[in-house]
Formats: sequence, C-alpha cells, structure tokens
Amino acid sequence: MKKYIYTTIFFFTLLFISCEDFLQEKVYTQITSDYIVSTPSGMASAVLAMYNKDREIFRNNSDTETTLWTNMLMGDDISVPRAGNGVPQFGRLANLQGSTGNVGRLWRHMYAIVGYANLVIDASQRVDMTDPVAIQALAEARVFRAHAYFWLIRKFDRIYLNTRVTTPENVNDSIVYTPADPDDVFALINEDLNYAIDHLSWETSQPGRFTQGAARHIKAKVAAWLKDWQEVGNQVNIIDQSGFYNLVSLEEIFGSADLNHSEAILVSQWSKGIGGWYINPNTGTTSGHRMPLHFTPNYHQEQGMLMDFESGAYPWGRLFPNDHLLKMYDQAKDRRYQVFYKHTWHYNNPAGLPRGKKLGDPLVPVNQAQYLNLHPACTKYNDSYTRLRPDETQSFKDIIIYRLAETYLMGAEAYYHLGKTDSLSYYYNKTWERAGNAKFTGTITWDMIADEHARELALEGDRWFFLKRNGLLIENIRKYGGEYIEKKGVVLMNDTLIRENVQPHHVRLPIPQAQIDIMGKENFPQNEGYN
Amino acid sequence: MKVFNEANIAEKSIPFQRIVLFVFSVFCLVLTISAQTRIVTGVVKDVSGEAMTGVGVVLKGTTKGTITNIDGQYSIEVVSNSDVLEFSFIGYETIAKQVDNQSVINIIMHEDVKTLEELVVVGYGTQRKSDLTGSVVSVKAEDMNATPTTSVAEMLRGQAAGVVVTQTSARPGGTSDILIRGKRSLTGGNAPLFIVDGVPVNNIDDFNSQDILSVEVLKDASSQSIYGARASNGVILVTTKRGEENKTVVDFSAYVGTQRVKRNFEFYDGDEWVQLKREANRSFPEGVYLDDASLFGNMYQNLVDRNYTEWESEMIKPAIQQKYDLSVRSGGKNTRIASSIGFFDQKGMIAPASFRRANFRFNADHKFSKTFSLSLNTNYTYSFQTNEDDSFDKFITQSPLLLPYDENGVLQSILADSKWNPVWNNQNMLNERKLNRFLLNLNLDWEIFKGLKYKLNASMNTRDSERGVYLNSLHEQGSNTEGKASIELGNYTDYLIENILTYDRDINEQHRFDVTLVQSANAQLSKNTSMVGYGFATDDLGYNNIGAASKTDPVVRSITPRNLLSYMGRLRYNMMDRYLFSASMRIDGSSVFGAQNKWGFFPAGSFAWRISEEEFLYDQHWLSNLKLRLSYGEVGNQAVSPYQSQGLVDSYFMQYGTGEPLVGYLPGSQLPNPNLKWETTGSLNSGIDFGFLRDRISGTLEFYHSVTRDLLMKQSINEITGYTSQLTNIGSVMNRGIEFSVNAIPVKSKNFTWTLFANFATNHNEILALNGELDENGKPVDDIANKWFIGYNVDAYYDYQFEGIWQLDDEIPDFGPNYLPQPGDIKVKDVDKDGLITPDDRIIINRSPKWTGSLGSSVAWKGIEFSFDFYTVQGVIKSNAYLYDSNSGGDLHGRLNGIKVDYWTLENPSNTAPRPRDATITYFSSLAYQDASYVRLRNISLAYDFPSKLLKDIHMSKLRVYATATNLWTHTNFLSYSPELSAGSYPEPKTLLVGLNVSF
Repeated sequence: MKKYIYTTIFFFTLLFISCEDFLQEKVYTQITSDYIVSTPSGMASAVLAMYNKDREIFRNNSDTETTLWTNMLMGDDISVPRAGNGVPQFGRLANLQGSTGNVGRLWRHMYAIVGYANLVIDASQRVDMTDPVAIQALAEARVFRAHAYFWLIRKFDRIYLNTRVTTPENVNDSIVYTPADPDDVFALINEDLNYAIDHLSWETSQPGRFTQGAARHIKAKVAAWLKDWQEVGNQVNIIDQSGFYNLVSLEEIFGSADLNHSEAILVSQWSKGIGGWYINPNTGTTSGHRMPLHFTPNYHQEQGMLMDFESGAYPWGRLFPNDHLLKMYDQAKDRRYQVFYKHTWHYNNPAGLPRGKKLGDPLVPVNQAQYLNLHPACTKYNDSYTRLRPDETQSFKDIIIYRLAETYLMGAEAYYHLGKTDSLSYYYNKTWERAGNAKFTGTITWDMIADEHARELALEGDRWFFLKRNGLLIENIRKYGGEYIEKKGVVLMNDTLIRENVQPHHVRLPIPQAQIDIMGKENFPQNEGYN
Repeated sequence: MKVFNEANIAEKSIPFQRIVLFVFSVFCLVLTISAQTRIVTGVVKDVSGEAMTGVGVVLKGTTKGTITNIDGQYSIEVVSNSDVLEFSFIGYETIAKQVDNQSVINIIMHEDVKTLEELVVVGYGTQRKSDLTGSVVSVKAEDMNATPTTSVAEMLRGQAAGVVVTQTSARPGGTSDILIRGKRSLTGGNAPLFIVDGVPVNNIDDFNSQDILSVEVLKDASSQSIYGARASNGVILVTTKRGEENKTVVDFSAYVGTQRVKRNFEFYDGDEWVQLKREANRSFPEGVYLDDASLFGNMYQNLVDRNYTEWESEMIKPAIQQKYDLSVRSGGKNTRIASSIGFFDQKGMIAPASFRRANFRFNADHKFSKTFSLSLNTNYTYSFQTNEDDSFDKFITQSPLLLPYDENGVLQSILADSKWNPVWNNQNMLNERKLNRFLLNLNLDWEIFKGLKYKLNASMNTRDSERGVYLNSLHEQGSNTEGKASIELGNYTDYLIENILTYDRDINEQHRFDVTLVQSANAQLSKNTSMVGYGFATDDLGYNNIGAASKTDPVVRSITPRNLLSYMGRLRYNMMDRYLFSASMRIDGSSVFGAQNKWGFFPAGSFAWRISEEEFLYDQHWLSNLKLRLSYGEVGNQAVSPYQSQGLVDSYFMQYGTGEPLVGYLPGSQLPNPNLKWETTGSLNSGIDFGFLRDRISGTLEFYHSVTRDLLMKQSINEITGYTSQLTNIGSVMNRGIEFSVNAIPVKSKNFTWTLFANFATNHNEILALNGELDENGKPVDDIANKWFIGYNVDAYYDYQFEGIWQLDDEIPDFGPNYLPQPGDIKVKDVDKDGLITPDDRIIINRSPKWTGSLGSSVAWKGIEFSFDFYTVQGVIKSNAYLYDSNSGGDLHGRLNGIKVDYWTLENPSNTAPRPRDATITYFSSLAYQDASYVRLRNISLAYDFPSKLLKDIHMSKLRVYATATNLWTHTNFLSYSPELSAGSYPEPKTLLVGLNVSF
C-alpha cells in the first residue's frame, strides 16, 4: 500500500510543477508605451504619429463624409450648405446640441492630441534633454498642445485644462472637474508656443512639421484673439522678414498635389505613398480624403453632363460660396473670382445632349434643383492631380492649414488697430495686388480688411474664428448667412434658415453632453443657451 | 400512434395480470390446493417475434431448470400453481412468472436497457448514461450525416434541444454558428468549445463527419465547468471512430447530388420594372408621367423592343456536389487501428465559388504491457475554397433593361447605366483560400494499480491558411490600380499537455466513487501576415505576382498568443445506484487576463436521484426510468482579447512631403485595464429524464437559469484624459429556458420499425446591466448605439413602428417639422402620443427566436427505410434590407431592381409599401421588419438495405443505396433565398442527391 501512496504523491508533485512565466503575456508585434516615454527617439516617434492622428480632422475613420474640418467650416456669413451629415446642425444651426456627433468628436480629437502631447511633455522629465532629438520632440509636442487648446478655447470657451498624464492607476482618482480660467489656458498656450519658438528652426527637410514660422503664425493668431496687436504685428514682421516665405501666384496656391510651396506655413500632408495615406486604425485599409467632393456640386445629375476633371470630377455638393462672398469681388479685376471658383458648367456628354444643345454650351439653371446642381463652387480643394479617373472619390492632394496670406492679413489688422498706416498698406496690398487689383493707396477701413479676409481665405477654415473674435459672428450670419437668389422672378436659391436659427449662444459650441454627464453638470455646466 | 402491436399489448397486459394474480392469491388463502407435479411448456421469443435459443428457465428457489431449444421451446415440471418460473438470458430482462393453473406459458423477452447501458463521453472520461447528473445530449453520427454539408455545426442543427444553429454562409465550404442556451457575451464570442478526442480545437468544420462516432453536447454549467474559463458558451465533445478487437470492417460511401436555387420572392420583370420607374418619376399629386424616351435614356430602345434580361439566371446556375469516403477499421488483441480517407467536392451555384476538401485520419491503440497502452490520433485536412466576386449580389438589383451582352454576344464591362456589369466583375477576379490542418494527439495510459490510472494527453495542432485575391486590370476595382493583389497568410499552432489521474473505486455494491485530477497546459499562437500590392504589368500571374507590384500597402503582421494553465479536480459518488453526486473545481490561469487577475475559479456541484430505482417504483414495469437532476456551476468566457490589459502602442506611418515614409507610435483611445478578467456564468439546471414501457418512450425535460456577470464592456471615461474608454468587467446578462425532447418507438417488430423524435426549446434572454453609466435621473443608461437595452434581449432592433401607408382620404395630422407625410408615405406610430414623431417613438424589437423545435420520423420495412425531419424556428424578426435599402434596390427609386412589393400608386392604394419616387422616403426601414420564423422539411430520405443473405455471397456485410432531398420545402414570410440569410448573401441551395454505403 505504501508504494501506492508514494506513487500518488510523486504524481501530484508532477502535476503542480509549472512556471508563472507561462502566463506572462508576450508581445511580438507591438511595443509597449514605455518606449515612447523613456527615450528621445521614443518621444520623436510619438510626435511623428501625432501628425498622422491630426489628419483625422479631414477624414473620420468610420465616416468619410462627416469630417470635423468641413463641419467646422460651416455656419458663417460667406457660405451656403446643400446637404449631408452635420449640415442641419452646423450649416443651418438647427438643433445644434451637446449630443451632436461632431461636437463630441471635436472635443475628443483635441483632448486626444492634448493627451498625446502630455505624454511626450511628461517624458521630458525623465529623458536626457540635452539630446536635440528630445528638444525637437518636446517643442513640437508643445505646439500640438497649444494648438489643440487654442481650438478648444475658441470653439467651446468653457474647457478643462489637463496637463497630467492619465494612467490606469490614476484614472479613477476623484477629481472635481471645473472649467478653467481662460487666462490660465492662454498662459499655458503662450508658454508652450514660446518654448517652441525658442527651439524650433525655420526650415525643415520634412514639410508638414511645425516650424518656428508655424509656431509664430499660431502665436500671432493667439495674440489677435487676445487683441494684443503689438504682439501680432511683431510676429507678422518677424515672419515677413525671415526670408523663408513668399507669396506664390494665385494658380500655384492650390494648383498641385504637393502644396509645400513657399507661401505655405502649415500643410496637412497627403500622398499615395505609405504614410501619405490615411490608414484606418481598425481595418488597416488605406484611403485618401474627400475634400474635392465636398465643394463640387452635383453637376453630373444634369442632362448632358458627365463626370470629368474639367467639371470637378466626382461631386458630393456639400458646401458652396454664397452670393455675399461672390459679390465682394470685383469680377473684372480680381482674378481670385475666377481662380478660386467655378461659376459655369459646359455640356460634355455627346450621348445625352438635350435637344438644341451642343458640346461646350454653358448650362443655364432655370429652377432651384438645377441651380443647386450648378451652384458656383470653390475650387481650392479640386484635385485632378492625384486621381486616375474622374469617378474616383479619394483625393491625396495636400490641404493647406495656414499660409502667408493669412499672416499678412493679420498684419494688416494689427497695424489698423495700432494706427500705423504704411505697415497697414504694406500688408493689405500683399494679397490685394497679387489678385490683380491695382495697389490701394487710399484709407484702408476695417471693413475692407474684413472683406479682403473673406476674399482671400474663404472656405479655408478661418472665417468663423475671424467673425467671433471681432464680435461679428451672430450679426453677420443674421445678415448674410445662407443664400437667397431670385432672377427674373424665379427663386433659384432659398436657404436662409441659418439667419432665423442663429442665436447669441451660437458663438460657441455646446459642451458634449456625454462629457457633462461624466463630469457632473454641477461642476461643469453646459454652455448657456444650450440645454 | 395507432399501431401498437403484440409487444405493446404484452406491456399493457401487465396490470391486468397483476389483478388476476391478486384475485388468485386471495383464492389461495381460501382454498388449499394439493401439490401435484405437472408439465408446463411454452415458447420464448424476443420482441421482434424471433424464437430465442438458450434462454434459462428455472423453477425459482430450486436448482431445477432447463434451456430453450432452437425453436425457443421449453418444457419444465412444476409442482404447484404458486411456483414461479424465472426466464433469463444475458442482455435481456429476467422475467418471473407464477405458474397458476396454466400449462402453456409463452414469454416475450425484452432487451435490458439497464445492463446494455450506453456509455456517454463526458469531460475527461466517460460515464454510464444513467449516472449522468448534468445536462448532456448525445448525438449519433448517422443522424448527423443525413445532411450533406461539410459543416459539423450544420449537422447538429435540430439534433439537440437548446442548441441553436444559424447559418452564417451558405457558400461551398460555408459555416454556421452554434449557440447553446442563448447569448451570454456581448463583446466576446458565443461559440462553444469543441473537444475532439480530449483535445480542444477552434474549428470543427475541418474534420470529416464520417470519422465521427458520437457528439456530446454539454449544456449545463456542472458538466461544462471542468473546462473552466473557456466553457461559458457550452462544450461539444466529439469522439472519433476507433478499431475494434478481432474485427475488420471496410466502409465505402459515396454520394453525388445537385444544388438548385429556391426563393420565395419575385423580382420585377421587365414590364413591371419599367412601370416602377415610371411611377417613381411621376408627378405627385397630379399623376403626370414623364416622357419614356427621356426617362429611360439609352435604355429606351430595349424598352421599346421589350428586350429584357433575367439577371438571376445569368449569375446562378445548378451545380454538382459529391463526397467519397473510404475507411478501414481493424484490430487484434493488443493493437487496433482505424483509418480513413475522404474527399468532398462542391461546385457553387455561383461560379467560380467552390469548395474541395480531402481528409485523412489514422487512429491507433496499442497495449504494450499489462499496465501500459498508447493511443494515437492523427488528422490531416487539406481544403481549397474559391469565392465569387464581392459584387455578385448586384444581380438582384440590375435593371432588366440592362443587357449583359452586346449584339454580338460579347460580355460588356460597363452597362448602359454606366455601372459595372456584375457578371463581368465575377469573371475578372480570383479569390482562393487554401488550408492545411494537421492534428497529432498521443495518449499514454498507465494503470498504476487497480482503479488508479494515469493518462498523459499530448497534442499538437497546426492550421495554415493562405488566401489570395487578385482583381485584374479589367475588374471594376482593379482597373483603377492596374490590378490589385492581396495575400493573407495565417498560421495557428497550439500545444496541449495534460496529466490526468483517475481513481475509480467500488467500496461495495452500495457505494462507488471516482476521482479525477487534471493538470493542463495549453499554448496557442496565432500569426497573420497580409500584404496588398497594386500596379501589374500583366494579369496572367494573378496574386502570385505580388512581388512585381509597382506599389504596395504596408505589410500587416499580427501575432496573438493565449496561454492557459489549469488544474481540475472532480469527485463523483454513486450511492446504491439511486443517489448520484458530483462536485468539481477548475482553476484556470490565462495569459490574456490582467496582471492582477490571473486566476479564475470555477466550482460546480450536481445531484441526481434515480427515482425509478427506489423500491416503491422498481417493480413498476411501465416505468423504465425516472431521474431527477439538479446542478449548479460556474463557467468562464475568456472573452478578453490578447493585450487588452497591457499598455501597448499602435504604429502610424507618416510621410512628410515627398520624403520616405516614417513610422511613429502612440497609444490607442482605450486606456488599458490591468484588472481585466473572464466573464463568469453561474447556471442552475434542473431536469427530469424519463422512460416508459421499457424506454420505448423516453425523453428529458429541463429548466435552466443562468446569469453571466462581469461582462466585458467599454466604459466611457472622461475624454479630457485623452482616452475615450476603458474595457471593464461590468455588464450582466440572464438566460433562462425550457427544453424538452422525446423519442418514441411506436412499432418495433421483425420487419417493421417506426421511430419518432421531437424536441423543443425556448430561451429567454435579458440584459440585466450594462456599463453602469446613469442618466440624470440616476437610471441606468441603455446603449443605443449597440442596441443594448436593459431588460431586453441582447439581439434587438430599435426603430419606428410601421402602421401602414397614408391614404388619399386620410386626414394627416401635423407631426412637426421632421415628418411631413403626404398620401403614399409611410405611417409610423406616435408611440409616446405627444403628437410628434421623434426618436422617442422608436420601439425595441426582439430579434432572437422565441422557440425552436424539430420533429422527425423514420419507418423501416424489410430493408426499405423512409425518414424525414422538420425543423422550425419561431418568433424571429429580421430586418430585410431588400425592402428599403437603396443599395439593395429596396428604395423604390426606380433605379435598381429588387424584391417585388405591392407599392402604393394613385390607382392602387396599397397599405404595405409606399409610393415610389426618386427621393428619400422617410421611415422606410420601419416596414422591413419581417417575421423570419420558418418551418422546413430539412431532410427527406429513402434508403434500401440489401438483405444480408444476398450480400454474403459477394462478401459484403452491408449495401445501402439511398436518395435524400435537403431543404426541399420551407415555409416562411421572410422574403429571401433563405430565412436565415439576407437575399444578397450567397443563396442557400436545395440539394437532391443519391448515395451508396458499402461495408465489407
């Protein structure tokens, strides 16, 4: 019997011999987050990935249409939307709420950038900061953070200021979330930008990265927001005199796939190569953005029209320049009227021509439906450069975020307020003359600057901010928002809902409702006017 | 149930005999009858009427006895009327009969169901069926093989109550899902764990069903819990055939059949489609039609000529399917083998879809000493699948006015509507998947001493797959990029080592117990590599030319390991064959669990009471079995995907300007959670097993109630942290149900047998808790995005309620700015009665079946066997995209063809579908919720077994020819090619086949 007992014991010992290592999860194809927070190259790699993530503004990962960029462009005095996701809320201010999809998405996107930047900035406490790679990474991360907070404070006014790195260990700490004092937010933004200006160089072999010029341009924008005109003028002068930037010809600004020209200050990089494509993090599939589709009307639905590059290729028809904007141009002299817009379409389908028409004849809209299909369109995003066929929906053309024209217009604005007329004239005439107008030598009024801003930068994303910081947002939308066109007694365009819908509280977005629920409305109340 | 032959009469007569006996005994008290020897004779037969030779006939209490002769006759001397004769024969129930005053006593003997007790495979061992305490259903291989498919899951359909099989793909080599007792996990999988000969496998469909001896489904937590953290969705044990001692069997089987498409809907034919397009472009309310010539444009000439295309027959054509199997099983005293090869070939009804598979198996058992033996199981599978083009389903939506061929009969790439021809696309692509699978399983058995056994179970399992897709430069998608090639390589390996100790002891007749101890280590590693390339100089080499691509996407490589370390102990105790107890505990450690929650504990206990073995019922011959079972157990779901608990970063490519692409790293939007653990299901099961009339009627009735807690849910976190969510164990789901199954053999005689089976199961599923978020009133928040509602089924729709169509004379109220209906528009219900149609008017619609059931029967007469079975799923609602979706032609825009509906027009005030128009129709999806309940004649089969006398001369032991029809008839209101699949899925065939089984 004893023998059996020993045998049994022997086997039991065998049974329970094992090693805990077996249960350690081994990682093969990914690296852990330790890497990016403990080495200079890790910090740099995180910053590099942030440029990729930042492109999501132009291309949601699940929805190609409802992009942050196109939604944030809407709701001003110089554009009219047609249809699409987000259009009622942002384009006509109907039912804009804390639960509106892109309100939450903007908040999430910007705070994600802040979170990434915080990781890198926090890493600088542990990493050897004499390494130039680490300094460069830190400087870029700080511009990213400043830029994200600048977006948030301008769009929401009421935000939380987070500079801490979140970990599984501290995520459940009890924190009372209360809105930040805007002064603290701007202090952080300026501190971050100053560090970047001190440490970034003017030039980079890698266009698309933040440079000293980009940091100064953003600094000028922040100063304009704070009405610190001296600072604006100062930064604009430095950029102008740096010698690194020049205005290019009107055709060149948006006239190629690669827009890293000497006028460009900050450009979102797109190309068909690896790293130039938007890559869906969930599926790994690669694709471009859809910007050209947004701004081209559905001309192809008209009889006798086929999709071709000449007409604007594949259209979705989401947002158009309105008559208020187009009237600002001197149609005869200002070349921007032709270069930045397409006004007329011409029959191009030999198979489907209406009776009495021939190829090349212009189409003349006679009713509302036709007018929408042939609405004047902004061509700044048109892309016949990266698409093989006109029916291709994806575009890989770069998107300009900031360019020197805007810097100069900020300069004009600053010197208008500072009362220095030669500098004002110098900066105002930069874009004015380039457009083919004769040099303006008279007295430049503020309204002229505001109109020149619209003429030069329309549908590039700054109009809403420009109106808000000048206290004109609500007033101008009430006057000029949407579009109403009547020709010979026929109403061709009637979309002025935004004029009726706009309310004083629309100068800011609502706080995303889900986030208020998490933070508690007693600590972090909704912006006034929204419920 | 009309025919009850002699056997039943005999059974029925028992109570009558008892009365006679009783009356007679009373007489005995009164009358003293003098002892006198006399002779009693009779014939002993079995239930089928065959005379039984060698049956022992003994005068009870004496040594006097005899045996029956070759004709079943006996003759014995008795003394008094109170003498009792005992008839006994091995394998049959012993019968005691009082002589009374009879001189002829004929006896019919019944097979003893108690001694011929079947063994049931349970986890880590086998058990007598009567000793089971949990809920285990055995499915016989021959019942499964009645269905001609490669999917073992599909073969299990309708075979066990509570096991719901749903088709996921009807294409050749397609798969089906198995759901046992309802959905338990929201984010993890719901597929059961398969154990083949003691080895866990991920995919059962690679195995050849002809190799399977039996399948056991473990349905309750007490029988599952010995598989711990993987068993939450149920366990299916598969046992393969083995060689038998001193017996050689060679089996050959073959069948060949055709598959044809069937549908229960109509397309618009040419004239009807033309009318639909006219209606869609008719002015309203004036009712003026547009001019045909401008409306139909370049399709107009076809309209005039009535030159129409039937697109379905361009895409779907009848196809052949065939299967051949050869197996040899043989054995001597110490060594036994079973080996088989099989080949399956199915052409798709939609070319070039097809599936071919070759299987090879070799099982061997060898006893190499008195106490040691070895057994080996090997399985090799090669399969080759080709798929049709993804755009094949466009045949449904092609206008009949579009012609696939030009006037010279040349296939067109782009049709008159400027869209691509789906037939063309289908001819200019290649989509292939090759699979190699090898399973090696070695067992060493050592009987240390009587009762104590050690088993080493080791296995290695590999599965290599390669999918190659090439869309050539003529294909719609390939033409943009001058060809597109993609290759996906998958490699999966797992290793298992298990040490199993069992001790089995009968203390005495009254007390028996056994103990099982298991230690197990399982390592799984899955690797995937995929690459995509574009721009090829030639199409000739297909995807194999990927090396010559002028442009490539980043190569994606992923490796996911899962290691599991387990300990299990089980004690079973049997007291007097009446009271059965079982208790077990499994401890699982898993690599995917968070660092702070590595180990899970899964206890279970069960009890069964065999009431029919109690003294007070033992003599009740009408009752052959009555058992009450009760169990509770906990099981886990290892739903955590690898790496969820760790802080990992994802890679991102970035190209600045025209420079080289660079890679950077950032964490995702989900904050890691080092506390992640398994989802746990606690489940209570009670059941009654019954058998009447010597188990001629037998069955099971069961109730279960299970609650799954710690469900993995994404919990939203404050986004100012930079993260949006964290995976947390927080949700909870309940399932409860009733299952009933019954088998009956109404007739069983020499030449004629009739069997019946039926089963029925209900399941009620309810979400108890979600991610814990509360609304402003402190009420738990439903997850509308995922359509998860607390208190409702996991599978739900959330939409407006269709109430018909607004008619011309209806007074249409003002519903607010979002909904301004006109006559011909969809009427939806104002559920909250606030006079407006708002998102609050949506209702929750339960999608999962209320009950499922099957009913089957077979009748055998002199070698001819006729059998059929019906399967039904009731109370399912499915949204049919083909009734509203614009891409599926359901939008009534008159642009695409689709499923024909009775749409509203000024002249036809239909109340089922709205007025066609070339604009969005509001709330269209609300009318697409169709009852997808169905009743189906799943298999109907006629077979003939040649008589063995005839076969002896040609050295055959069995020859069977048969014809089977599968999916021959289905009744459902869901408009599709199959009630389980949408119309755009690969259509489900009905199959007619003839086959042959030969044994030597």
